[in-house]
Amino acid sequence: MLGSVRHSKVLAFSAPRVWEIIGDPADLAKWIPDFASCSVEGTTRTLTTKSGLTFDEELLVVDPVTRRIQYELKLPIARFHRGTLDVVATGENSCVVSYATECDPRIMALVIGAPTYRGLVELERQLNEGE
Amino acid sequence: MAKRILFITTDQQRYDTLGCNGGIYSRTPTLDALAASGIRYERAHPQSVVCMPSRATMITGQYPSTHGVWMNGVSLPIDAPSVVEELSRAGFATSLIGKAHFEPYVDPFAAFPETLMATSQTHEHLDPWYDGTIGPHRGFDYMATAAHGSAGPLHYSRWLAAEHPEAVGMFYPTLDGNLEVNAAGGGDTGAVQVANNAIPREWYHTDWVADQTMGWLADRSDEEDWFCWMSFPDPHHPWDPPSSELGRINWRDIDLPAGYIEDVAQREAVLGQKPRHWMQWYEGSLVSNFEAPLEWVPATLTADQLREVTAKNAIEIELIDEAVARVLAQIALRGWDDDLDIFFTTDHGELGGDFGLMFKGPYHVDGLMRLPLIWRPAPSRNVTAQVVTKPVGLIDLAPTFLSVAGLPDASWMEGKSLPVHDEDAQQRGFDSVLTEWDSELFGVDVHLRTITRDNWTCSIYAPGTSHEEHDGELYNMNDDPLQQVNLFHDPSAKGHRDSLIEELRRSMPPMRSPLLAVVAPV
Repeated sequence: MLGSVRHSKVLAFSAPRVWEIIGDPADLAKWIPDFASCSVEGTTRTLTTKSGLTFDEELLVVDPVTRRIQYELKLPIARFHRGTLDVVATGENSCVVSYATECDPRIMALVIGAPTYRGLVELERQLNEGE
Repeated sequence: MAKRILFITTDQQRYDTLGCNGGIYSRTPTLDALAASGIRYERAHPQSVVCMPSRATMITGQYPSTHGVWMNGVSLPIDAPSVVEELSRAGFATSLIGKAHFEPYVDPFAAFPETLMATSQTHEHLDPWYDGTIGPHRGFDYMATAAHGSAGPLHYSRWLAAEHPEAVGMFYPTLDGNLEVNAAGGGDTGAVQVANNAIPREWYHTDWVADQTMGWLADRSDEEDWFCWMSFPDPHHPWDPPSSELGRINWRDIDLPAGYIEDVAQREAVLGQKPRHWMQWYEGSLVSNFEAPLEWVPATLTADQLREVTAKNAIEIELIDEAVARVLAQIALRGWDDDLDIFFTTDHGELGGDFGLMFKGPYHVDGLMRLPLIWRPAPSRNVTAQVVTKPVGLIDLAPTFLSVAGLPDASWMEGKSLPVHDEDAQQRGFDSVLTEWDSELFGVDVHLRTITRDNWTCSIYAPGTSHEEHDGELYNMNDDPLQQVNLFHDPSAKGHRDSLIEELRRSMPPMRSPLLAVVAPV
């Protein structure tokens, strides 16, 4: 059964400023605290969690114009996964960052979506502290 | 003389499962003796009927709306206030042994200290406290965690895997391959979440919790103040006690629970009077919350399956009673009993066959809300044994711990120190108790608020997947103790209903905003 989870943050920063931090898919470990390392080779992103798990993702979309990153995670326990990160400008100095996780089985959407929530919290912190 | 507090909790235990509360299935002489020499509460309610919000209420003394753990899968913020921090700051040695669950269990990223401590095989962790200082995690100097089986990143499962790997596969698998609550049947009757578990009793988590508690107590000096939260994971499902103990109660001899309506037509007529999510769950068209198996249809529950569940549940409770007895015997040997306050309760109840249902969910009836609660004050204070009939809540535990410790009230707590008799309750305004439910899971949302006062229980619903604003429940528990007649729309009960709703709306704190994120199923 497919399930989807979406976390989002309204930020008082411009969409280009936010995209500077999160627009490079290789920078994921810099703003999602669950990850120890992240590298990209071609369309494959390899992530290692701080808990020691390593897995690959297939990057489907990295679009600086629409400010969207979309990817699929390959895990034996997940029959389907798609992650979608969007930065949507809502004003000159405001935007919404939306991070959606779709997954089958549905419970995995909650589990895989958890780091995306923590990432949005950390992103806001970094922006507020000018990092 | 030292101050000592032993806080004993179980998980998902009904009020009527103790002998002192009229229970007929389990023998609970240890807990009955505590009640006989202490204060037994006849109307203690949780502020949420699921684990994480309820446990967060116990440690914070706040409503779920305030502490923010509004459903399972929401973590209590690391810097949430904690009564245990207050005790630690006052010099108490502090521990939690058994089920914590302030943080999600399903945590493959090891984002939470409860996971981190077990995976790193440590029992201490430092974190920010609510006042900005740093101290032991939520105030506990020592944590040794366990849950309902061998799975998960907790100390018990690590211990079992290391010491007795052959036993890891003996437990019923609580979750299925899709991480949903398992609907597979087992045992003798094919009942859901039931198994015959070959694990030796001494390796089972109930005895492990007692053993760990005794180990921690053995390290305490006679002069030390201490607070120990001994938290048994049972009798929460799965119902898979050690098979060696099954001879205690033959499920075939079990009389069906009073709340189970054997006649199907009568049962469905009762369900039909309640808000529609009751019948939707019963017939399998809606599972609103993660805590019940997605693939299990309550209408398929047979009388024999319920007998087997009831028997295994009762056996688990007997094992807890005996484990408590072992711990109390050790305390007595140390000569500490005279200055020891003992509390016994649980986080929420269990439907246990009432209305043909089991497990838990957004169903605010006695099966889930009426809890066992016993306070055996330190005998040195000469408190006489009492039965308190006035309503109290788990929210009142944290202020009581402060009071027992001789510490001032904490301004962030929303409860009051438990009354010691009915007159005390009357004088201090223990008139009503409130319980909340909120859940939003994959597009299904349920929101209700309940007040219990003067032997009436009234629930109101906010609009949601199955509810409209005018939905509600009202039960007169003097005339209808099994809550089978919903009077919410009965004109003759309108005065009671309106008065209860008015008090409920006036008393309920506002929901914390923004809502904390759901980051796991549980």
